[in-house]
Amino acid sequence: MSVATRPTAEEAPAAAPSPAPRERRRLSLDAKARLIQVAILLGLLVVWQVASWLGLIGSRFLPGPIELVGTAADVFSDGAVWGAVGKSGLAMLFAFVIGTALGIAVGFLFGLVQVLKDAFFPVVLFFMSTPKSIFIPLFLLLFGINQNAPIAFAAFATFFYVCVNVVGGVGLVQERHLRVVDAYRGKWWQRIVDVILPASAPGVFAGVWYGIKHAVFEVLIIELYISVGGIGALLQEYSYLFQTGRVLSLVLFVVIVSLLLGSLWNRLESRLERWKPEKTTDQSLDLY
Amino acid sequence: MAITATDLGVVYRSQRRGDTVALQHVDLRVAEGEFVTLIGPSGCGKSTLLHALGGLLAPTSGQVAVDDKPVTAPDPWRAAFIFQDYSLLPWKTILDNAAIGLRFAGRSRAERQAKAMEMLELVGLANFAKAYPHELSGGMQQRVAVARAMAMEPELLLMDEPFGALDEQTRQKLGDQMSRILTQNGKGVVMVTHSLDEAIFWADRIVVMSPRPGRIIREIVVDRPRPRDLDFIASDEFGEIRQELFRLISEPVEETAADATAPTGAVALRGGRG
Repeated sequence: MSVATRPTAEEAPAAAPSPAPRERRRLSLDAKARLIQVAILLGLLVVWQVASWLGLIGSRFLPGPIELVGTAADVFSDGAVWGAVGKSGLAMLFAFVIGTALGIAVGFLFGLVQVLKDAFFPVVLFFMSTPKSIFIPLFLLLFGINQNAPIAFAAFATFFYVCVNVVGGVGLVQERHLRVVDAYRGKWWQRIVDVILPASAPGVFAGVWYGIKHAVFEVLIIELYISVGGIGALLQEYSYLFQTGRVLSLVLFVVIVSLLLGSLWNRLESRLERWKPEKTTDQSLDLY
Repeated sequence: MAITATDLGVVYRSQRRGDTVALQHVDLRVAEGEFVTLIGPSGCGKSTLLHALGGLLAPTSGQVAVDDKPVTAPDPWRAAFIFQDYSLLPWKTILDNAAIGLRFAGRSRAERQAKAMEMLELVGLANFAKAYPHELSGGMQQRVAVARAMAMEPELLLMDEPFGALDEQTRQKLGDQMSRILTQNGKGVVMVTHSLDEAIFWADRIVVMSPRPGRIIREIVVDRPRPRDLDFIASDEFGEIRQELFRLISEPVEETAADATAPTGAVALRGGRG
């Protein structure tokens, strides 16, 4: 037996009426913005190149764009650079994995056990607002000037950002969704799998993104601070030798890699959060 | 299956605001297949009573029993909840939402999907099985919540102001559909509402509660077969019951603490007195 009931016109889904004309207009606005971006960028490059040709900027301090491309090609055909990139990359990866895993674990622990949160979350917040680089000397004393120091320090610094975001994510869990689990007799683990994890996902995703960002950032910081090798050390070497072109090439490389990581992560997040009405963050713009 | 509340009392304890007596000496029996509406001023403990009936809240005194067996925990197979705010899980599809109770019960994927699909067809939302809740209007989401409850094939549905968050038109249409489905499937219903019309139109029996501490002050039997036609609203019988309810609910009572979450309906009722 069934009763024929079907959605009526007034009850059409909220998302159904598609504002087609507006969509088109926004796209063209987007295109315009792109155009202006590209135009300004090209303009700056031209001005820079011309200034460089006219000798307004000494090539010692800042080589022109064309010269820079040559230098970059030079830099990246050098095996030493790739060695440094590999070394830093590996340190960043380890720091990311350790710092993020610990941050997520402790974040969920805080989110689920109120007593622990009351006791220790203030400590995490304290470290959050302290410049982590003041702990570099301590890490060098503990781990020595070697491979492990950057990994340990960057994992340590990364941990706090991840933890704070995950705690925020668990805060997004709503009582009414937990009530559904109770009313429909879900087991304790279904409470976690079906409600707590998906509800806190935005915080966890933000946490992972901060994990990536800070792993990269903190490894570079410590490499710049003391000669433990890697990109930071190379940057310092180039700048001591006044090789501005080489410094710029490396800096641009780091910027581009960071941008790529950001947009890759954004893609992945969109795929994982299909259920969401809109994205909460536009992280590709939030680089630092 | 009959559900019985005997001398039920619920006290909310709070360190900051002291104890609040939400329910006091409540005796209620809901017979098999009966449609009972709970009505009363806001903050009178209607929802508390509903939650206690379903085992979602442990009473401070007295007990709830189903066929003489005490109720200690929710059991959606016996009595399934439908909440005012729909409470669909936004990260699950409509189909998975409708199937959540079966998933919790450990049924196989094939079985729960088939059952959920059948229920979505019943409420007219089969086409939206793959959509996510945010793509649906409020009325449609509430229909999914009804499907979620019906998928458990419960003998009793516990509805907490199920149409409270909807606009008048949707509310009427949806209420009409739902009451037909429930009647034809022979489900017993306990429904909390603050709408006089809703309370009368669907009920076999209306239970009127006093302001806090909530007690049952009156039970009115609506003696007319269900489902009812809209003509019923224009009848003398309907008008008389409505007047009686209005009088009961707007009767002057000792001032209770102002309830910040008072639904506008109840406020309007009090304001309309005299």
